[in-house]
Amino acid sequence: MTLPLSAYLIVAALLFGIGIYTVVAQRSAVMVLMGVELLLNAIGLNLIAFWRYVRPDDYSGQIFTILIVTVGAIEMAVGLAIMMLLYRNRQTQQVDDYQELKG
Amino acid sequence: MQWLAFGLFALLAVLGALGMTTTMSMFRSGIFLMASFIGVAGLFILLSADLIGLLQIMMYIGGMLVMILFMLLFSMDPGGAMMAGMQMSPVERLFSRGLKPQGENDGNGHQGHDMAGMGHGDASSSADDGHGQADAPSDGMAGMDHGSMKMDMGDGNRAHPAHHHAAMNHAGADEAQMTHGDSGPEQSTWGADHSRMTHGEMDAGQTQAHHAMPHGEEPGPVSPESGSGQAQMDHSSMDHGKMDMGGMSGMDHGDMQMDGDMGGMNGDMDMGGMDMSMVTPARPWAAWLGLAVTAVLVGLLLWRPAWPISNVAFSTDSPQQIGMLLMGKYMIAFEGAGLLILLGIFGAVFLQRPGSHPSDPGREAYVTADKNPVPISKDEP
Amino acid sequence: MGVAGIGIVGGAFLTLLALCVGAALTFWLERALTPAVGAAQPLTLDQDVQLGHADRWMYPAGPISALFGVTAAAAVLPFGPGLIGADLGIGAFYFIVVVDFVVLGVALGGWGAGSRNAVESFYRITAQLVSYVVPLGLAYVGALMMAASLSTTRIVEAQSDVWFIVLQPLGFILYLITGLMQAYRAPFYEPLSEHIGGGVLSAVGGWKALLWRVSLAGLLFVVAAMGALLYLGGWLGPWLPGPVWMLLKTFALMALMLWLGRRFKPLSTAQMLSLSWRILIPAGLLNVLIVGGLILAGVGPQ
Repeated sequence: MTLPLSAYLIVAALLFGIGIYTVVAQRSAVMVLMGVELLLNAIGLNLIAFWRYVRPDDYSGQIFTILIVTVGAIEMAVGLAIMMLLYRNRQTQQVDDYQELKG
Repeated sequence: MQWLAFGLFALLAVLGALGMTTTMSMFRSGIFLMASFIGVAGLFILLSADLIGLLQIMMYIGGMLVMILFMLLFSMDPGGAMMAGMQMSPVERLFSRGLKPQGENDGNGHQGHDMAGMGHGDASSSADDGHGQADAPSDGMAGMDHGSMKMDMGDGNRAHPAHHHAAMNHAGADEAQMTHGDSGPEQSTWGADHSRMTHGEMDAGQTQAHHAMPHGEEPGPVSPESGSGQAQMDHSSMDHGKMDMGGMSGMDHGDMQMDGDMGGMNGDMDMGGMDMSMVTPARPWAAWLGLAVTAVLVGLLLWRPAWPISNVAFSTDSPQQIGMLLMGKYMIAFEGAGLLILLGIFGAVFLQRPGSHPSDPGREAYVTADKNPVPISKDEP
Repeated sequence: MGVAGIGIVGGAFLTLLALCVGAALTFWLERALTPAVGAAQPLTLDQDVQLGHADRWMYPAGPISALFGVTAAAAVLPFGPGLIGADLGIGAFYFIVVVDFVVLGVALGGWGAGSRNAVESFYRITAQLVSYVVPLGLAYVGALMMAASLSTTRIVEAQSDVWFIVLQPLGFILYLITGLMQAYRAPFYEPLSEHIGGGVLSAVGGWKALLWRVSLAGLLFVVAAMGALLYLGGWLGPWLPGPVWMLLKTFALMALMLWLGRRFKPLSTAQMLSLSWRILIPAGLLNVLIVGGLILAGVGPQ
């Protein structure tokens, strides 16, 4: 085991940064969803890396990652459904055009 | 060997993510995201969490393809063909390479992109002089970006062989522009004030656009009346230029600056003043935010580099271990996730019921379409 | 390094050999049995198709991805005790996952080709993926529950007493149907149907057409081989050596699938989706229930 833990963590940090950027900067709702997926993935990578290096005998880290992947899938499904709904009503998918949704 | 695999997968993951957020084609961004996920899955497998890695690949190949399908349904320009001729930052151009702009503008923007680099060596060299130090810190992609910067400069200078800083000369009367031009060669920090500067320049977009008109070498449908629309375009392309900072860890801002300048001249796509950009105007500070988050995370890592690494032997039969835990210790969480999935399915189906939006003006059409599905006529032999 | 290197090389060689044999068999069988997928087109191997709007990277990436998926899937198919490319602990799951790369390949190639039929092919194959993937998983689950392992070799070894087809015929039927869906063969060949000119196959020529042909033929082969080892006992059998049995069973299953597929009229993707949700998934759940009951009752391998 020559790879340090930090290598994985740096990759996860990069992914997280790109994800943040995507969520904030992208205009299309689908792209925002993709950014969220990327964030979840970065978290999962962190979890797995810590599991492997710190507590490899306890599989709870992997369980948590499975849950995260599951939540990601649900988020994608519901997000897409909501988006489709909004699209039907507004004929647009740009998040800027959903201003009226503010309370 | 391990390092090689790690490098490969990490590169795939990061480049995929970068490509996802920067490419103009939504289809490509889906594919890039999938590549990124596959890279992360490779890292998982490298970390001997093979079950999760495979789970990830399976979920996201299916999920991403469906997502892409949705994008194709919704987006006006899923293939990015319209955007492809626009001014893009080098990263974006790199990841959007090969997308063809369609319609009358075909070849117009592209010609600028592809050809300008060679015919105008002098212009590019001057660009090097002006912004040399901005280009200096390269991280592997600098050559690429550098080349694209040359193209941009060449593009501008084709219209104005005499001036190197084309846009500066265009809107020379504008003070924002002047500041911008001045700051080019000497500023070394390129901090947040730079983004303000670019925004000032954006305000000048109107004048700039007017200036650009008579000189523009593009034979596209340019008219002074569309100045406002061009200002808009200018704005978006400026953002594109800005993007570069986030994507490439803020390395060559001279390049970005050039892009911003050229935006006024080159942005005469026929978009009717619509801001078609895939990104919000918040993009510069979004890029900085992303960068800052990354920096903070890496900083935390440096601050506390030593984790208690344990070398406990562990069972490699991860499916069994995970199954045991899921059925035992984490039963509640497992059930909860299952319930969530169920809720998600029902929620999605519920949201999609055709009759649930009485206020939708187009509902009648949908309902009729749902009731009498158009036969897949192309299927008939 | 030495032993491991030999193992890797040997496994890769075995995998490729299996794939070649399988693809050749499939070609022959298809010509003998049925108007094959995209058979409307002659095999234009000698000239490449020129496309106006092809994407330079994605278009050739399609067949490569598909072939990669099929090859990687063939790696976990055991043709005898120890005669396997790579004996993964999670082989069956791995198989499901990597076969998805064929769908990815069609998506890439279809979109990248930029012609109408090819893009249509991408739409349809995505819809088909959504419709087959859940019942396919359920069809695996029955066998996996009985074998109590995800490893392909252990699944075969668990059938040394009785084949799983005897214990769970419903699962086998389910696998036949979803396998046909997964292999894009006769009633479920909508993504590559001749009504859209063979879909993505219409837009390729030269080496890409060859890769597509090989990967689609290999796909049927690996799907049938997986069915053989999930339900028909893999290499187990009297008198003949293991690999022969495995090939025979795969071959028989392939013939059965192709023959059965011709009995039915082609389904559209919408019909496939409704078939999947209305019939196959409930049947799969029922099968899982039955298998659970059987295991509780002590039937099957202990």
